[in-house]
Amino acid sequence: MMRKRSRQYAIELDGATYGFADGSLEPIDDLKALDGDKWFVTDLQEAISRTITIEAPGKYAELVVRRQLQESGEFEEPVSVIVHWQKRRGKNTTDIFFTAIPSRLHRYYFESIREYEDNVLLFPLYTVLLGALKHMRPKEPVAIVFQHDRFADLIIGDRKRIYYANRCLAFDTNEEQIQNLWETVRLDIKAVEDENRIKVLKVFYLNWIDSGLEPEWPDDMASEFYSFEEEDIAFQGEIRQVSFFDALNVQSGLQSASSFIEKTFYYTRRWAPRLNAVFFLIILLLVTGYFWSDQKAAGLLKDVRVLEQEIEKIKLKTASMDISQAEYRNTMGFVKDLAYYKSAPPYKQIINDLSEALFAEVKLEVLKMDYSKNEVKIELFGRITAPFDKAHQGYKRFLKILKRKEYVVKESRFETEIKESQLLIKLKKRIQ
Amino acid sequence: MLKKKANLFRLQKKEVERKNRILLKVGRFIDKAGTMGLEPKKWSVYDVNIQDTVSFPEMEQILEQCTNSRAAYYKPISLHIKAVASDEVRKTGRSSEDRTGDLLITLNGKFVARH
Repeated sequence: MMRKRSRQYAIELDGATYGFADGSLEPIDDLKALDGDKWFVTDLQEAISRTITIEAPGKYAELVVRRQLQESGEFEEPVSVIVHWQKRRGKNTTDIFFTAIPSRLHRYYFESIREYEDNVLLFPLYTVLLGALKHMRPKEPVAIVFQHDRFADLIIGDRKRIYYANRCLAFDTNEEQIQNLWETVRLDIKAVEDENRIKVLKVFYLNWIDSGLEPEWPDDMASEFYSFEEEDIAFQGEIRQVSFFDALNVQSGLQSASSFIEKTFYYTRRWAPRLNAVFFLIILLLVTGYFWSDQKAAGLLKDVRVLEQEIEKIKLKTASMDISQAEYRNTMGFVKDLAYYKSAPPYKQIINDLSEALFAEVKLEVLKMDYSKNEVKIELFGRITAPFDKAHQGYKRFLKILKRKEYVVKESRFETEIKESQLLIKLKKRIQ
Repeated sequence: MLKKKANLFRLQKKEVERKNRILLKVGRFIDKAGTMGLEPKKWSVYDVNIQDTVSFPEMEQILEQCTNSRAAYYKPISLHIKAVASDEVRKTGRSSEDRTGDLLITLNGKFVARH
């Protein structure tokens, strides 16, 4: 994997501190020797990293671990816990992977990095190993072993669970002791396999500048042995092949043990040039938008003035027409009246229509015609001197003929005394 | 804001133009009506009010006149006709249609004639 060259690291390991930037690793006295923002990777000196299962809900896990560590006598002073991973197993059981460190050291690390002018993100060593494991996302359990000086830091897990974490150590860095160290690692792996009924199929090896030759992996081991990609590092005038930086390259700053505010400061400064460019673009857009709006506003203002002038012209033209409303209404009303006289059916036409519909036996006694604005109302009353059958048929025919001539029957009454009948009909006709 | 103002003025202009068009039409209409003599002052109105007992032929004669003609327009208002049995009818029992009876008519209307 290509290393992120813009990033610089301070690495504290086995009592020594190194600065790393642009492919060059140099021993340094402290972090002040490195200018600029940095990642600080440290083994936290006296820290221990473990996985344990506790009888407590997740939210109390850290508290319970702290109490257990103090009760077991592993720390003779107050202890602080950095939780890397935890998962609820049962209702009241939690698996937890943590690094424990004396509280005074915890304060020292977390407070001292705040005193630097530059932003520093703190990475405990096991955070780096866990980050490398998470990056792989293995379906089956794998082991990652980081061997440096006389130590081997071991983590076993898969994408869902961390089974085991431990630091194995040798008495010395001579070849025999280092072989014993790897033997201890293999025994640990087997013990974890037996305890958790799993098979660790792959072991990944990370080395440091003092790791020496890659160990020989025995054929009787079920797992296969792989090395992380090594990178040429300049160290004190020599070129060394180190794979630890391959694990560092896959880390995310968000996995750091530093607080949220420190992460925010770090990324704010890191992204400052990009943010500046974005702000510049926004300002440029705003300025362009302002000029565009200004130009458009000027155009609209011009339109408004032109429209105002045009409206005034039309109003003047209208005023010059000098048409009297009374004169118009008088003339219009009179013409409408004449049109009404022309379309209103004359008396005689209505009488003719009625005569056509009437039959011989009917004697009309009363006929009324009243004209209104848009219709004429007709009312007629008569006697029929004929037997009922004939009178009724004649009455129905009378109505039918009038309807055909567009008269609307509003009311019709037919009363009979067998020999003689009476009819009363009210009609109306629309004047169009 | 300016855009709204411009839109408002555009609407106002359309409204003023519409009003102007209507007034033009009205002016033309009044001119034409004047040319054709369709002005109230050039016409006379004669009321027609009849309430009388008449015979059929008389009524027919009256109604034939109560209609529009070349000389005048007729405005019908109302016509009420009631058959009134004459003494002869009462005696003989014959109807008014035998032209021996009378009709009571009440007629209202107006003749509107050009000077």
